[in-house]
Amino acid sequence: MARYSERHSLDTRRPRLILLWLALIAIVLYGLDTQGALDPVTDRTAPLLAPVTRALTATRQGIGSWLGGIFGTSDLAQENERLKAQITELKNENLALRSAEVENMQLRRTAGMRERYGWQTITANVVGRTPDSATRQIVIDRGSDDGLQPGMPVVSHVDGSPDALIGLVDTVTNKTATVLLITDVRSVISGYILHRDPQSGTLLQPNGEIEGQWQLGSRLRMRQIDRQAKFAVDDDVLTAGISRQLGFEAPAARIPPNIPIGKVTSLQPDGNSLMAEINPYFDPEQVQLVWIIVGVD
Amino acid sequence: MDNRRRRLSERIMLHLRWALLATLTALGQTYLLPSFLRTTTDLVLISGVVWTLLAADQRGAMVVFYGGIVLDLLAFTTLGTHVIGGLITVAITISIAERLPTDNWLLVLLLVGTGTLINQLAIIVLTGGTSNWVGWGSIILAPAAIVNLISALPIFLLLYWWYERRPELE
Repeated sequence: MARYSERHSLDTRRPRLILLWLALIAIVLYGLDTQGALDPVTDRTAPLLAPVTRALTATRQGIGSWLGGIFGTSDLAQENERLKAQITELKNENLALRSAEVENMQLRRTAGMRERYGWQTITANVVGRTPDSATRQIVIDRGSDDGLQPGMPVVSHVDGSPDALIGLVDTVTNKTATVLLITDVRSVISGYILHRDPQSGTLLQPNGEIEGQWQLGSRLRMRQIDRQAKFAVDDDVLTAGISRQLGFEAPAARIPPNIPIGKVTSLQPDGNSLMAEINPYFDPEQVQLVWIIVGVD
Repeated sequence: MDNRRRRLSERIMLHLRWALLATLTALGQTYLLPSFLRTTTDLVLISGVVWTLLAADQRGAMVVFYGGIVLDLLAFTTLGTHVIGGLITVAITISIAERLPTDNWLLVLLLVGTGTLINQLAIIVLTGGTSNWVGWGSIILAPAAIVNLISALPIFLLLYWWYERRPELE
């Protein structure tokens, strides 16, 4: 190959002119979409693209299974899978018991009783994901026809982790829904840290706001924690369900308390309060099957 | 009059053809490519750079424009977020390629690396910015740059092979 201008005798002003036009159109589209003027168009594309994205995801998963069939059907691999499932069960049991102890204290105060983990769920397959790091969302194959509504919590597990919150239903069409992952910067939910005081043995539960941090270079961050609160690295973090307890009508009020989220990896002062970095039990983008909590007994 | 109409319909067909190709590229990038380092190859951006180097016409710009719009729809980002960085990269590619010989594979790597930086910067700025640039650099930019650089030469060779067989803009 030679130089660009030597190789092509055509006037290079033309590609530049087209580039300029396309840039102008992109800027106009950005401006219009920021104002919400293109919402009627963009909202309709998800259902239109759903059959294509579902087919492509099925193809990718088919190829993955085929490769797994070639490389992963040994007895050792099957045993590994079985043990991972067992670990998931044990971790679920452990967390449920510990969070039940905390809630028992609250229930004694309010003279109430509620069954632990009485979630009513429906399962869904992940049929789409975002193409890069700009947003953290997935598309699932259930929609308003199945009773999904914005704000409903979505849980899953991967490789021996407990069943954990991966995100909230964001937008819903008849047959599909998008789930805003908890790691996305737009995600803010109330949570608490489950900490057992090593001296007194009592369970403490400092509250805070859990913000997604992926696009900002981290995973999850819990803020607004009382400066006097006691907790430590490796403590489990669960949803607080504050909006639900206060009876708010907001979509976040659909999040029940005590859904596992992740573990504390570090803590530091943040103005007049404390801040904790949290690692989810697994990367929410890895999941292929999810459970949507549509109600609680 | 008929001649002008024919030219207009040819231009529309050209854009439709490249819009379809860019859509398939964006869908393949999103749904078929495996994840590595928690990211996937930016097929749209690399194709835009390579087509601009190879063909020296509007092909690269059309791929990043239409591909970027589809990526925005798939990523639920504001329309234009994935386009602007790509178009800036194509503009830089045209400027550099006019001055330097394009038969140097290092130039492909340099442009893909620069394009990844510009594109990721445009995306983070247009989606709200960050206060943790070091974290963004290590978690978002570095994996994206590594994956794109690994993929750049195979994609260049594939499109070069295609371009040698069908060099005309059609």
